[in-house]
Order: sequence, then C-alpha cells, then structure tokens
Amino acid sequence: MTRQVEAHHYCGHQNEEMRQCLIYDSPEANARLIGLEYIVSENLFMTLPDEEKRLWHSHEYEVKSGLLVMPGIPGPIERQDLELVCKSYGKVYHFWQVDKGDSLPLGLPQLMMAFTRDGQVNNELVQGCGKRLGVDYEKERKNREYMRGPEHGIHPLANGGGKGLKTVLREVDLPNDQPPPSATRVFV
Amino acid sequence: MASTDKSPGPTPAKGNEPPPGQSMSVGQHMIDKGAMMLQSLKPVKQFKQHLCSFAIYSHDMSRQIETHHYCTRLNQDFLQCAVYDSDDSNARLLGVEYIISDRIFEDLPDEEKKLWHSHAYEVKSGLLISPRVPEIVAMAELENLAKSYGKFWCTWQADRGDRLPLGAPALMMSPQGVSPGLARPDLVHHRDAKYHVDSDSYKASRLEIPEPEMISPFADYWKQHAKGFAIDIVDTDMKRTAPFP
Repeated sequence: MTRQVEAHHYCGHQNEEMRQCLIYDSPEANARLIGLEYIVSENLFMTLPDEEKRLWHSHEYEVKSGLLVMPGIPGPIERQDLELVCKSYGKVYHFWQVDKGDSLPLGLPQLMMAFTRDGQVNNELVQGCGKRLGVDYEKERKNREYMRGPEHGIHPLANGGGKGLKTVLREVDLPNDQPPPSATRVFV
Repeated sequence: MASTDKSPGPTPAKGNEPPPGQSMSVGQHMIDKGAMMLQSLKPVKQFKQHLCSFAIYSHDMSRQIETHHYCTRLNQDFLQCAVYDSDDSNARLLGVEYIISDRIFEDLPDEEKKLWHSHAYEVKSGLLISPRVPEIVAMAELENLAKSYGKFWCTWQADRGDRLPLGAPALMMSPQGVSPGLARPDLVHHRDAKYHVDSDSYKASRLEIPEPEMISPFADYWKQHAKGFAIDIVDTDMKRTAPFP
C-alpha cells in the first residue's frame, strides 16, 4: 500500500458493460505506457470464477471520494459516467514501475489494487494531482454522495479478498509433444 | 492461485464470441463523443504505426496468435505498443509490448534479458508487416525493428476462448526459424489473405536488412534452454498504512 502511482486511463468500450483502458503516467504526448485496465459491470464480475474475482478491485471508494476524475469533462456529464463506474470492477496490471525510478519496463507485471477507504491514499500524491488538474476533492465528494456502489455490495472476494497478491515467475518445461528446439547449442 | 498456464475455473464467459454484455447505450455513446471533443487524449494520439505479426505463448509454444501492434516511439531506442487481436474498432486489447534497441538491450541484467525476444527473424522472414504501407516506405522502420528486442505481456488469452481477460499475464515470444518457434502456416495464410500480401515475397526485399551481430543466449530463452515462463499470482503480506479493504 505504500507504493502508489498516479494513473491516466484512456478507455474504450467493448460494449456497455466492458471497457479496456491503456494506462499512462501522465496526460502528455511523451507519457509512458505503464499498464492496462479492464473494467466490467457488476453483472459480468459475478460471472467470474471465484479465484478470478480476487484479481479485480472495486471502484466505489475511488469514485465517491473524488479521487477518480475525468479531466475536462463538465461535472454533470462526468457524474453520469461515474455512476456506472462506481458500480464496476477493474483488473489492472502495471508493467513499468516508474515510481521506483525505472527508466525501462523491467521485471514482472504487477497486479494493482485500488483505494477502498479513507486513510490509504498518500496525501501528497493527491494534493499534487489536485493542483495540476484543478480538482477540489471535497467538493467532488459532496457532489457524488448520492452515488451507489455495486447493487449486491462490494463482493468479499474482490480487492484480493483483503490479502496482498504478488506475481512470481516460474520456468516451465516445454510440453513433450513439441519437437525440441534446435540441437545446436552455443557455448559462450 | 492464478497462473498463466492453468485454465481458469468455469465461467459463462467462455467461447469465441465478443465479450459478454449489453450493447452500448445511446447515453454512453454520447458521453464518449463528448469526451472525445473535450479531452486532449494526447498519449493515445501518439500511435504512429500499425504492425501486424505473430506471437507465441512462452509456456505453450503450440499456441500462436496474430497480433496488431499500435506503436509510439518515445525515443530512438524505445517503442511502446498497445497490442490488439485485430485492426477492427472492436478489437480486444490483448496486452502491451515494449521494443528496445540492441544497444539498450545489451545493458540489461541477464535475468531481465530472459523475458525479451529478438525480432530479426520475424522481420526478415516477412512475418512482420506494416499493413498497407509500401515496403520502400516501411524499410527504415523495418531496419530499426530487425535489430530490436521486445517484451510482450499478454493479459487476455482470447485464443483460449476467454471472452473476458482471465487469469495471470502470459509472457509471449516471437516466431523464430526453428521449431517450436516456426509460425503456423494456417495463421500466416489467413493473415496474408486478409491484407492481400504474400509474406514469403518479402524475404527477397528484406534480405539485406542488418541484424544484431550476436543475439544474446538469454533472449528467446526457449531456444537455448527448452523452457518457457509462466506467472503465478500468489498471496503475500500487504504493507498497510491503513486497513484494507
């Protein structure tokens, strides 16, 4: 939880209930593509196998706290979309750990989670963002008070089921029914 | 818990059809149109190239996919690409590939190099094409790509029949000139027919393209080591500064 990043999502719809997003570290032309997110409606989320549900996170808090904003979009229109996002679940992988100062996308994909309650987010991060984007988070919170999260409540398995999750690399033998790679070995 | 090489549990979201879900409502279309007009969308407007090629799952090299890369060049040595399963507007976002020059690649630690693949073969064999771009126009970029290395994480195994992106990411490898890295002829024919090209015919025009003098034995890891890679997602302690969730 101590490692947090600002993320700029560029999303498109596969249909009304599913979106896919590219995640960048800034809204500028030279922004780095650091990851991706898939967003599904509550209905689609409920069809996922239980093991899969743990990899997804809820959006209710992010939306209602004002942390999630759609820059440049007038409030009333923004809120129309956010009402839907509020009930949705997302699955995010980041491939480039820019907060570590990595100048290249090194290592393994990282499964990301979202903020789920007050006290988790790093305030400096938020203040910085708020200033740059011109967001008054307190005002947004009030404007979004009326919104409702998932109809069935946040699923207990979402958000990692409350546990941390990490990715680990494993070498696998190539299946036997495949011919072995070229027998020439290079000795260096 | 979740692994690249384990089939996800039963779910209705299986099959070859598009993702489940209701069709876009008029309201949603209008929000999208509004957003497109009001927001700058700069990062995604930087995609300057469309490349079509093939990729192979590193943990199961019998599984190959046609890929559509939409690439942005951040500098002379670096490209970042969003990878889709087609060039249609309803294409599925399969993952992300990063492409770096051999100069940058050489400086990576060996453990990192294992996750990368070379591009020389797929460029020179004609498997990688720049759809609808004449060879002579594409040549400069092809020369860059032939000397480059890529790292491609696939987060949606649509070829497995996943109608939604399930499970852990998969590390992808590139086609090579030896089994099991040889591109499946049926996939190549299907792609060639779509774009009215003949991949084979590019071999001649691309013969002279320079490739890296030596491809690191850590890249294309399966070639020297007969092993692939899978990702496991496992429980871990989360460092918390507040209760979660």
